[in-house]
Amino acid sequence: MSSCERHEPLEQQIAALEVSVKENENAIGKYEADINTLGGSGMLATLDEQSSAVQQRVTALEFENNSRDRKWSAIEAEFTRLRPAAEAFKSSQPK
Amino acid sequence: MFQFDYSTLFKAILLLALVLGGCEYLNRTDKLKERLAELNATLPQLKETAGLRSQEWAELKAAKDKHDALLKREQTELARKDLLDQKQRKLEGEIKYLSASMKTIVEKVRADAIGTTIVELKLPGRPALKNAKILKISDDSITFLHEDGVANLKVKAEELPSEFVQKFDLGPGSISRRLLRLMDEISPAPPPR
Repeated sequence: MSSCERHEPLEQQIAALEVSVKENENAIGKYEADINTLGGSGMLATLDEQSSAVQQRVTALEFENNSRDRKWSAIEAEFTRLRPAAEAFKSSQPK
Repeated sequence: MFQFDYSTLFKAILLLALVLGGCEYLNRTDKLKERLAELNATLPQLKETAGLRSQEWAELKAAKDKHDALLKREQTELARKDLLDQKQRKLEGEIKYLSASMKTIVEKVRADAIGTTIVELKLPGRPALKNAKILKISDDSITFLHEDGVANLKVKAEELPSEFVQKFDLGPGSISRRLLRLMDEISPAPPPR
């Protein structure tokens, strides 16, 4: 066995580790770039705070809309029943 | 006298080459081992850092997605609110118009009926009124002047024949009242200050 052949397993191990190191470095770089795109690490707390405020507004809006929707639908249904009766009453009167 | 011996020189050179080669081999081995140790030490740290960054990104992405979804829901609800406002205005307009036209016609029908005399007004569960003249029509009753005096017949007490209730749109179930109730429901009067 030559000296090069004796180094080969070590060199292969090193090459494999270097590939793994490079992959991890690339992954870290990509994650850091993605984190920066989303506003940076400090954005998490800000987003949570903003989401909480939006959630409160949405809950209030949904509640109000649902309530109004039910109310208008009931009124519309009653009006749909009343209109023909009113029209019939009006048309039954002498001109 | 010194005699140059080529074989001795050759042996010396060979020995020197072997020694140098051996040194180079060992030196190279040491460097490779050093690099291997360095990589073995670095890799776990990098993996840990990558894991932490991945987790941080995932949390941030989830928070951003949640925020975006909430903003979208808010936009949907705001658009729905606009539609409900439109629906309210449309219903308000239609109910108001029908209510006003009903009121005009009902008032006219009632006014035209004042003074009308009914020769025999048959009543549910009581004696008929003779020559009953309509004196007054309110939302809930009709007052008649008849041969035996004055009678105020109420819808609520079911004293009036149903055709009168319908003809003059009387009582709590009248079309006009139901339309007014709808108006109150859709645009309630502001509370007094």
